[in-house]
Amino acid sequence: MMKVAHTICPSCSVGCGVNLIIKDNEAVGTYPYKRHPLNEGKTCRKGRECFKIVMENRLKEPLLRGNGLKQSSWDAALDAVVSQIKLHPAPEVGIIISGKCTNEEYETLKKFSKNLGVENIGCHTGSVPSVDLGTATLDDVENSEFILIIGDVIKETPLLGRWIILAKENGAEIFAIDKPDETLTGVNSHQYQQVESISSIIDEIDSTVLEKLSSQSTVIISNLENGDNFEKLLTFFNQYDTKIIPVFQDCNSRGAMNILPILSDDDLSDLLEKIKVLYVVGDDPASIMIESMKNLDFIISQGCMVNETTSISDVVLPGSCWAEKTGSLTNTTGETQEISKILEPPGNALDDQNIITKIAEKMGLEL
Amino acid sequence: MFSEPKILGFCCNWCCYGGADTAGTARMQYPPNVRVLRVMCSGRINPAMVLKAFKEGADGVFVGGCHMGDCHYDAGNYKWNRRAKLIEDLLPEFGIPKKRFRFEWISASEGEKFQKTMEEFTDTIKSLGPLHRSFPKMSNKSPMC
Amino acid sequence: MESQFLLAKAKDDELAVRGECGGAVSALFKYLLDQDLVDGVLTLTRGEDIYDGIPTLVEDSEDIISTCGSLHCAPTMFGDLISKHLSDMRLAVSVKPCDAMAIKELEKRHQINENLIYKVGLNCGGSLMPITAQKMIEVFYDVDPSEVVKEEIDKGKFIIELADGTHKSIEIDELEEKGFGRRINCQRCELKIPRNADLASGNWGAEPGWTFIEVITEKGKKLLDGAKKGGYIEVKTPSEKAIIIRGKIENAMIKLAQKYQEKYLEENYPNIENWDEYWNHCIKCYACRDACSLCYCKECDLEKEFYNDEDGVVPDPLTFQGVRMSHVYFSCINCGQCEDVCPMEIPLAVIFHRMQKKYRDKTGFIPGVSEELPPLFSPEKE
Ligand SMILES: Cc1cc2nc3c(=O)[nH]c(=O)nc-3n(C[C@H](O)[C@H](O)[C@H](O)COP(=O)(O)OP(=O)(O)OC[C@H]3O[C@@H](n4cnc5c(N)ncnc54)[C@H](O)[C@@H]3O)c2cc1C
Ligand code: SF4
Ligand code: SF4
Ligand code: SF4
Ligand code: FES
Repeated sequence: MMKVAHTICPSCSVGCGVNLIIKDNEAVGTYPYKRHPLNEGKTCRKGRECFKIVMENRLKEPLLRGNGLKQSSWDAALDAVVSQIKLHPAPEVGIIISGKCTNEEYETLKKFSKNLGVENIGCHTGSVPSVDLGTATLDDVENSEFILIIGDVIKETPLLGRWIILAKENGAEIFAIDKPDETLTGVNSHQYQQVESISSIIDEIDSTVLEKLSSQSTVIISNLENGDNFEKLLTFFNQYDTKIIPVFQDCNSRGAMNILPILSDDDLSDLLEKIKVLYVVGDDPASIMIESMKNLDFIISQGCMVNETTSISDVVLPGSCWAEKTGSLTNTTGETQEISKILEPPGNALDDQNIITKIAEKMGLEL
Repeated sequence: MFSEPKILGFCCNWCCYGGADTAGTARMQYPPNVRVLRVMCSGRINPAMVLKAFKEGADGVFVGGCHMGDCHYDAGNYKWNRRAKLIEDLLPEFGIPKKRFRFEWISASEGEKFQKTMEEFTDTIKSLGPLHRSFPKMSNKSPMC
Repeated sequence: MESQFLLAKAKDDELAVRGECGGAVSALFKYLLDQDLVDGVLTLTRGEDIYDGIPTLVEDSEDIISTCGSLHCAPTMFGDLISKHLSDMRLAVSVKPCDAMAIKELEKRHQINENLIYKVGLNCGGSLMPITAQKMIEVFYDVDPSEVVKEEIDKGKFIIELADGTHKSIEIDELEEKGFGRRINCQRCELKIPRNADLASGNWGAEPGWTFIEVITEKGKKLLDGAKKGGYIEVKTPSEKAIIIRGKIENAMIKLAQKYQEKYLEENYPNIENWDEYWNHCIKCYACRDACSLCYCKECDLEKEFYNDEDGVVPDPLTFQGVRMSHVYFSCINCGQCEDVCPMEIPLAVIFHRMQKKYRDKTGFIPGVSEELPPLFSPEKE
């Protein structure tokens, strides 16, 4: 049994189409998806190797902490979750989710928290703040006369970079700004400006560059180490009559910010201080702030992979990876694309929306 | 004036390297620019090694093996001969004139042929000048403000 | 074996109607599955629309019906799909000449077992990139591409059919002049009738509702005889005139391909500065290698320390593309897959094809067609 099935690459925020090669319910490779308008069968290495995510470090059974984490039944695991949530008043409960889940999961989780009265909820996106702006489309990039790039877009998100190459072939002028001596984007631009730090861009930027910003230009902002910079740059360039593309980190960061509050690293650590019970969906906060998690009474971790957070959790609920669920993802230019379930989750893992619904049912909540 | 070209010579152990040795013992002078690298057989050389040599900064690459019929491993030099033809076609595609690459059959007793070949090749490379490659790529940097 | 020509069509009405030209190819597949002569059939199914060809392994002969018809906007490649994932199966596969060429090279390299596979060839005038095709239909035909229910290339024209039965056609030359039409490598492709498969089928020289089949191998002949006896296909002999017409079209197509070779590999061939610019884009993603059927090594030299550029932002073309070229260019079948998948729009097949032509001129080796491996690998003293 072999089949080739369409999906969207989950590895960055560009949203390329890829075909997974599936043999006996196992993802064994990828195959070019040439019909996909965004990337026409072209992908970077992460895209071509995304099938590996399906197999990597998967959680297959619910786990419950006794003397260490032990395999348990779904019922026992969910009962533990429910009793702990019930034991704490809503303000002591926090819910966080990553930018890698589907829009439908965000909606379901939003309803769940609302009905539960939990206000400490958000999507953790690292450095990127919530933005609410109309961004340029990829066609806009291709048809731009001038493109200003902050960060190494061609290297980090090559399939967005491809549209810059196409624009250049169309005669666009390309100007790049970044910190290193040389970058791949810089080498492929007409001009490269090296800056001391991203925060100084606004002061240092070549004034002739700003004169070139017009409705026929696009500014692409990527690869920033902190949210303040990102916000400053967005505000700065928003004064000009130019199109903008912010490059988010995860495959559905953009979708998450349409539905849920966005948590920066600081916001997340504030949230952790306020609560006693944490319910994590598809995320790994322990990998960046394990210290702030020491005061928690109870951690519930739901997701498809073993990570640092699952190892310190009290209950682990095995969820599905992107290829095992149906829903939609919104890419960095704001385009929403459907994905469908093309694989069965392994072992006793379940669909994530289904898990949230089960918890709600046991809590006696309507969703 | 370009006086010191860098030339890498791959010589097979059984013939060409012997030829270099013979030239040496007979005190036949050959240009010091040639760094000889001994390999067991010319059949050991693949095009990628020649490409790597140019990448690392060689201005010319020479490969020497046994005369046809004399290869210590029977057919190594036949194999090499076929690969050498590939290299001649490949180099110009990357902006390297094929004259910068040369191969020859030289036996262990042909010290003189070795010396002459090296002199000729060195002259060729000198007349071509140093190999300027357009790599690594640099961006067009605007001055720091 | 003497070549043999015949016209064939499926006896099953549904296959005959849904098939491209009488459904003979589909009927042969059905026969092979029903008689348990193969474990599976590898073909394409139409996904979302006519621009979406999805490789499909059919194991139940009832499902063959969903794979009927030609998809000209689906430049797929079966060679490495078989060698990587289906090499242990008894298989029948529909092959364009480039698929057949890739399979042949893989057979010679013991990556595909010739005895396990039936290669049912499709003549090929070329294929289009799906997104290019859609843009072309929008711009030149002034039609919403999603309304096209069928497309074909016939008598030098790209013809589309709409749901209401109307047709629109434009000279393919005109489209290609403007950068649309068939993939560039297809424009250069000289193998129009896959005489490297077991059978070669196509509409050239055929009557409406029939496929013209050229029998190439003994295996192909047995397959046809079996399917005929089993009542799967109906056959008849084509007229002398049909055979001549087919030959003429083939020759005209080959001449055209040679003209395009001249254009793309000589006249408009990128110069060294252009190549420098192209290599500059390379993100070292290995897509070109992974898409190339000839690159089947388990351990790739390109990933070895030896050739790595420690600090460069771009890989040195000499030891990246240059090394890959030195491994495979002489066997390049000009299938265009490397170029199709390169995220940085580097016209890779152009350089590989041009180099291969030089090699062919010197040695006579035609990849995917010659029975032997390239003479480079010969142990002989010659
Ligand atoms: C891209 C393309 C170009 C062609 N150009 C010509 C031409 O110029 N001249 C000519 O005489 N004939 C050409 N043909 C062949 C012709 O269109 C018919 O496929 C052939 O006559 C067989 O007809 P049928 O009714 O027996 O096929 P069917 O019974 O309809 O079976 C066709 C089989 O081909 C498979 N298939 C469809 N598209 C592809 C593809 N892109 N790659 C691989 N397999 C595929 C289908 O899944 C199916 O199994 C072309 C075919 C293709 C796919
Ligand atoms: S490369 Fe040749 S055989 Fe393959 S699709 Fe193009 S024209 Fe057809
Ligand atoms: S080098 Fe490119 S065109 Fe040639 S066989 Fe490989 S993928 Fe096909
Ligand atoms: S596919 Fe293109 S970008 Fe990727 S390694 Fe090959 S040449 Fe470079
Ligand atoms: S040993 Fe000298 S060429 Fe083989």
